[in-house]
Amino acid sequence: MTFTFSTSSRKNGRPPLKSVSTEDNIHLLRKRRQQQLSSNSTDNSLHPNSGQTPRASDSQDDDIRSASTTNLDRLRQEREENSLEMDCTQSRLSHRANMLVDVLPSFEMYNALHRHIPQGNVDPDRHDFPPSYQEVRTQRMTILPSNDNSVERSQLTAVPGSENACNNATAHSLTNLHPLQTQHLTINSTRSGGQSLHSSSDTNISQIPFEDDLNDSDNIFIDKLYTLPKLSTPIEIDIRITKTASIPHERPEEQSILKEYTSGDIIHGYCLIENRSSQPLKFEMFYVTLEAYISVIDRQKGKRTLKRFLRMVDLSASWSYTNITPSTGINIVPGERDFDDAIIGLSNSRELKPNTKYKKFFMFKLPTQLLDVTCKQEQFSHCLLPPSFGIDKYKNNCKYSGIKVNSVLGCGHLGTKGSPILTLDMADDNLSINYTIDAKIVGKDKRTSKLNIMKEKEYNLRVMPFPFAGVTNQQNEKTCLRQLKNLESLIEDRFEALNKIFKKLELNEAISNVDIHDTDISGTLDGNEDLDSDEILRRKLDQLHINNRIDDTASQSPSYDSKNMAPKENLVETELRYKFKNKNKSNSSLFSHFLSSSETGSSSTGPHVYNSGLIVLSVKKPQSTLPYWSPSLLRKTNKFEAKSEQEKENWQRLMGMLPEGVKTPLTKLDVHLTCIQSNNSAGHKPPEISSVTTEFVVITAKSDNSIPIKFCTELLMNENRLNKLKTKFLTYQKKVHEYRKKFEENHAKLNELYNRNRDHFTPKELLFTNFISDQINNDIDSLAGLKVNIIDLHDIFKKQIHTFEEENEDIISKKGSSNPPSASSSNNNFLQATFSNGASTATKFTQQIVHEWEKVKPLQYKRDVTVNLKLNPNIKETLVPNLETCLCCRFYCVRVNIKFDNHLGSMKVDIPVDVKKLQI
Amino acid sequence: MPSSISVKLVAAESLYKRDVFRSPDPFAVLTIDGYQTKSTSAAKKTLNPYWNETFKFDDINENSILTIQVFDQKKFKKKDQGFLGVVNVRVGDVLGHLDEDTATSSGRPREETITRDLKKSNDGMAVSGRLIVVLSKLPSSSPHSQAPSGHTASSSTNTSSTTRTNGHSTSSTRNHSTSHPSRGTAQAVESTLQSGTTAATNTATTSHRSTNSTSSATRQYSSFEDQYGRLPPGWERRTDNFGRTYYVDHNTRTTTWKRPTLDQTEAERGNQLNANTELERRQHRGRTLPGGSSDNSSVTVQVGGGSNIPPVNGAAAAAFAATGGTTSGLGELPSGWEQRFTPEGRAYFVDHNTRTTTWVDPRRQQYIRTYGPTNTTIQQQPVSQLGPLPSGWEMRLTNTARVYFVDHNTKTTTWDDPRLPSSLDQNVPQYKRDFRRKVIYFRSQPALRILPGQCHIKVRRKNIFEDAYQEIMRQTPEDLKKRLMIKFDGEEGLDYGGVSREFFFLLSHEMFNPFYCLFEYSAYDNYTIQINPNSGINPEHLNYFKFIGRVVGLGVFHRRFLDAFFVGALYKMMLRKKVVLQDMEGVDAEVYNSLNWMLENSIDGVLDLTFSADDERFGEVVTVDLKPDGRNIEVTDGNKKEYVELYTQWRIVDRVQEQFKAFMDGFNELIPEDLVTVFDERELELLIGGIAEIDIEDWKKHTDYRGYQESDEVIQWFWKCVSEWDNEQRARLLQFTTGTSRIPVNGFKDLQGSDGPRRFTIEKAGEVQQLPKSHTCFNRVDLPQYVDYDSMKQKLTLAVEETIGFGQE
Repeated sequence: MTFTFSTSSRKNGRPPLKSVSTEDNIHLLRKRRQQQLSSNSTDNSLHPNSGQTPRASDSQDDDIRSASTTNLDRLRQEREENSLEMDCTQSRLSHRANMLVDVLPSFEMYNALHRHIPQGNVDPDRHDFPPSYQEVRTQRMTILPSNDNSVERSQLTAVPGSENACNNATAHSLTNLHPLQTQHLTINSTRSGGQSLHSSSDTNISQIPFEDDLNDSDNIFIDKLYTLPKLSTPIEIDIRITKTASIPHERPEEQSILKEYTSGDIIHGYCLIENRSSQPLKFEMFYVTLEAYISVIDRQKGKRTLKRFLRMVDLSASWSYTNITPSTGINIVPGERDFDDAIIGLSNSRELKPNTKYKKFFMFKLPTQLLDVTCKQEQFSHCLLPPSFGIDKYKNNCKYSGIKVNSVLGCGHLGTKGSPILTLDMADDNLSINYTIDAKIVGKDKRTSKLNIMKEKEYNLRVMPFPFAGVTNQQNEKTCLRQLKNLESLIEDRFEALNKIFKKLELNEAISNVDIHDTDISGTLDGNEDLDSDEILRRKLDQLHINNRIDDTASQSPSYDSKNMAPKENLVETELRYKFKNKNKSNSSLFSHFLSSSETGSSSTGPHVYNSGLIVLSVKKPQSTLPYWSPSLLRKTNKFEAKSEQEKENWQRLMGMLPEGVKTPLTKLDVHLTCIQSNNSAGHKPPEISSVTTEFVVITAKSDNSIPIKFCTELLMNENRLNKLKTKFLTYQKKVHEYRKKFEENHAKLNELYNRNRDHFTPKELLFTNFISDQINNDIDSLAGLKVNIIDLHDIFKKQIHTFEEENEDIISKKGSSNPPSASSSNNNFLQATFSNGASTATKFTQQIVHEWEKVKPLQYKRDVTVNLKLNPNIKETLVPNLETCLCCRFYCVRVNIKFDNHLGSMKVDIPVDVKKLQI
Repeated sequence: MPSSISVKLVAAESLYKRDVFRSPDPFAVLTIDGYQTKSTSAAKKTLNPYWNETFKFDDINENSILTIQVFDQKKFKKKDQGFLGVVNVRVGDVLGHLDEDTATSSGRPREETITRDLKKSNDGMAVSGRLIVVLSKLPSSSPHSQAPSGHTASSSTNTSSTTRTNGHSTSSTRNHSTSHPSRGTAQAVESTLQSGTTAATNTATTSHRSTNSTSSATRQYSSFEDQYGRLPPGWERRTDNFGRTYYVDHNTRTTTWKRPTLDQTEAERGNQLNANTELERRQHRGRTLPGGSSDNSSVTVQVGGGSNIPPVNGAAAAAFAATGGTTSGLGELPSGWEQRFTPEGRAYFVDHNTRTTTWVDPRRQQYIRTYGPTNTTIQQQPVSQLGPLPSGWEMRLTNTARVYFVDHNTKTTTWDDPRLPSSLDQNVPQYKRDFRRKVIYFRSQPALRILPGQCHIKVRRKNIFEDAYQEIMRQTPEDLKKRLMIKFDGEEGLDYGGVSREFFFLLSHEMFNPFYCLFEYSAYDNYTIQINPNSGINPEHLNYFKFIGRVVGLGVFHRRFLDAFFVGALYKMMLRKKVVLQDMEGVDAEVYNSLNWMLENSIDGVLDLTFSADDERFGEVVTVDLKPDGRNIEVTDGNKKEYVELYTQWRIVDRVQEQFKAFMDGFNELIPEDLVTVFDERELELLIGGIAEIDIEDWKKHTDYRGYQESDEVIQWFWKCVSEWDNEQRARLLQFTTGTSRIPVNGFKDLQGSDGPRRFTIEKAGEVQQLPKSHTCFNRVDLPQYVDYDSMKQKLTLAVEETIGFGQE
């Protein structure tokens, strides 16, 4: 917000500009308009301008000239009268607490302040004013100064004197803008003070900045903000997060350090900026943003990859040319001193007075999903809000690397507000997803007129998003394999095209369009073929190499609506062959197996009489999910009762959206065993189950390039499939390297061949990227450099015997016993382990867990095993919800081991399970 | 007995000093009963202009009103045209009874000098000063002078002067009949259908001419004279396909309905022509399109700026803010601001309101505020993948987690997702037919993106049609898609958008000028136009139609408006929609009535029509089969419906098939056909012609009521509802009631019906649960007596919004 000093100082600050017109203040505007007209039109001395020595030419004319500030000023007494009016409206506005103000910036405001970093802060001392109004009027006006002199900026070409205008206009090609790209930065080994993270290779399409004003040809694109040099200046910024919207002159209640936000929550707060030096300091811009990024560090390559996937700017909190209403709708009067003696708002002249505190209120609302242009490969699941994950131990020269997890509390932080919270969420040190409120002051070096960051402060937030659709891992496997196959076939066919042109190179034949894209379609459409829409869509998606857009999981079970809730049975299956001697035959002598060949009842083929068969285990992938689990202290601070009014209503709305089926947490898995006995063995009782144990498998995958395909636990868990994938893509990588080298060597020749038969077209350059586009190159690097980390946790779930429902509550819960007691009816040591009162554990184990074999058909038995999944309340780990982002993903599996008696073997099955934040 | 007077405008005294430092260049515009506009030259920089110019007005009776308006020429292009005052004088009050020939004592004709104070106009701008006028009655000279004095063709008003009536309008009973004319007998119906619109002589004999049918039919005249004697040099008399005579002036290549009188000097006529085109230019300049991307959209919601940038009007701003509509952050500087460049080429901004200059662009302070609930409803199905944004677009999140879009092509920001046709976007409250969103969607398509580079077109103002034809036809469609750089030969002035607007304004007047016989005026008024079936007389006509199609496409592509309005049927044909009987009304009201009559009465044994129609091509009558071997198939009550459809199809579409095809070829070179079908035919008219600034007061002032009084509640509600609507919906109401959104240059008082001047009429008819109905040929809307405001508003919106035809009875 802009404001002026009461004393008319040398610098001509401006009286604050009241922005009033909302739909309910329109009458106000009209009233002021009449005032304007009625007041004597000659009185236009707007602002005593003692500083200016009026030029001789317009001495009698008292119009005001100001260099940097726009002079939409009004008389100061009018401002007081305004603020009176404002009070009456202010009370009306504030009572609508649940109202939110969405601010849509005009193109000019967006382009000048938020697409480029402004640097027009012309120093008023340097008197280069624009030509005075007097001169303007005397100039011969070729066109009547009517209101239609709308200058379409793009039309300005032949403007006298500014030759760069022409080439700007032509350079003004409107490439598709990729909002937030992945930045690849190198970590230089020396820990120098302001370590400069210079972006090693901006492989993405170079950004053609949009031409703003004619004269700001040296516009700095906003993404450069993150690579500006950081200075140490005597400016202090402090960010405070408050529980409710802070109303001026009232001390707000501060937020707890362990606060956890979810999608749709509103974050209120304010920034305090103080210039501790004795000299006024000028700045170019002040940004207050909510940002989120993924950081993947590769120690060996010394490379840090940063993907910023969220950037929201609070226009009213950041500096702007005018006073923008805060999003809370609460009207603040700039220039006033708040309860802590800080001045509300920043000055128009973008200058910080010595030892004065300035205050800026901000507000952010967490979105429900990211912008769908966030993921270039258009994977929908990459556009959902990921949870906070690990902490960035590298940033601000490893300021947070000292944070340790307090073993009792299960989490750790620096102890000061705004510190990130480290939990045992099994994210390694080099991987983190971070949410911060960020305040940056951008300054300009006087001598080199280069921009720099005068001061930057961040407040880390912990965000656990609400699980919107599309993350269920039901049909992941099918989609994952399909996309992988598509990618591989695409790469193969690009190599094919390369081979073809190299062959043509040897034979010195002309190269045509067909060779590049192996269909003539992409070049010229031979009109006679009428394509139906699916065909066009297929070709278009092929051409764009993005047919992930038809994403089964997204399209098939995008929402929880019941109709496609029952996805086709996707089961996880495994089987066990068993074979045991038929001991309990009556004459079990040595010879019996020789004689029994002709025995009736069972046609025994083998010489011995074995009982053998096959046990098939199948489990349905569960629809319901495990709850997000965090340390008890975090859970306590963020339980429902502790939430604010808005957050409660928001949570209820979110939960209201889910069908009942999903809300109930996953408590047990129904395992179906079928035992099929081979014909040559005698009818026998299928083997008994000796023990059922569970493990919790945590899978984390990461790569330093955006992951092109959807992952599934089946692929990531399967050692050799994973290795096969990585080796294949490593070979691809090598191949690309070779082809590129070979292509560069024969570049000239290839181009000559290419243009030989293209007479009627203008000569077109043949590039390597026509064959292997940057996108494909990145995809190959990403999968080649994929790193997967699998952790097995044994004590996440209670032992099965601890999970019995008790008719009578006399179970004594045992401390996690060391070895899983194997329960089998015939195993006697088990009996000692149980206590005699009540039904014995063994019987309960069979009743509630393993049940009995039931004969279904001759030689076929069926048995249901219910595996209880009860979270062990005192685990230290934090189970972060599933996440899939461009650079990393986290999946979970429950591993069920079923052991059979007398060492017949054991069956192990990994069942993919989701963890979601559905309870608070 | 009409007579003529001469008006000498001597001077004006102490006009209102609107600007502090500058005095106006006042000039006056005189009109009688809204037509015969004449204007004086502009006196330079004075508050007491002395003109001393005399003007002769004919056809005057006592209660004609002479209105004299004074404007400041410098600010004529501004919204308020530098209005400095108006004086209305009733001729009778000053000159008493015109008919008795009381020569004054000195034998000279009576002369009265009057001074009248200048009055405010309805927009309440302060005015002051007096006007000195000398009125004198001209002695009634030879009957010759009685003939209507010439006035410009393109001015829409044509009094029911004698020459006109014999051409077209049938007996007076027609005007009052509502649904079907009771006039013709079946035999007349057959003759019109069978003989199509043969030459005037034919209709004269069969239909009952109105009483004052002149004796013209008896003696054949050459085309350079008529019963009143020879036409002025360079003038020619012609009759159009509806048998109406019009006059062609080869000197200025213009056409007019009024017979030119001998004693009107060329200069006077030219002068009048200019005054009229000036009025038309002013109206054309005020036309806009919603969607914020048109560069002269008037509604710039300028929120957040200082209060002395007057936001336009509160209602529009509120409406805009409420719908979260697009803010036109584009080029349009707030009013009173201007951008200039220092010698070094650096842009600075001049604020004429406060006479100050600054480096900072005032639009950097504009933003739009919309209020929303803190917890928005989360839609069930997250919109997953819509694919890439159109090129030149960016997508951003506000701090309140709302998505907005930035369009670098048109330099605007909006809440609307350009990839979504209006219905799906959950961001913005919806209403069914969202023309604004369609425009945004239409303009964001890649095919409509301006290509880099420039397309230079150099034309001479006097010879604009031929020059433009050469220049535009020699360029390839790709060249035409580059930025237009129009240059008027001999006029220095860079094309900052204003010049190309002028180019399209003048060119659209020339292209559709009946002088070239490519287009002709429609049956029921004389400003909507249609393709002239007999355009074949011009051998080059197909190339010209392709050229005209290209120009219309060019206008739409480069967001410029043509000052041309086609008949409803032509827009339908452009959208490849089937024409229905209803469209015939705009093409030929007489045939429309005949077909209606056929449908409503049994025709067996009454009419012996066959499935064929006679078409008169350059004099010889050709029978055309509507169906294979149609001429042997009888039209009976059973198949008369099919006959009507086929006849309509033939009459409207088939006769102008090649011309229309050439026109569409040219159009589709610029605008792909599958894109334009997003619009319905009414929206297409607005897209091509733009929406005029509709002045509700003027509309209300010139409305007749039948069965209602202005004070009735329903009428109050009607006007309340119309005033709440935005310009686009008002234009659509006009289309619904009068068949076109075009308003005559002099405002609603000049509205034309199919039978001469016909003011906007509201009639009490229809039951309460029915929708209002309209009769476009009578500019009449049947408004049932609704019980409450909401139902009236809902019914009216439904009737106007619905997209099929005009919803006639």
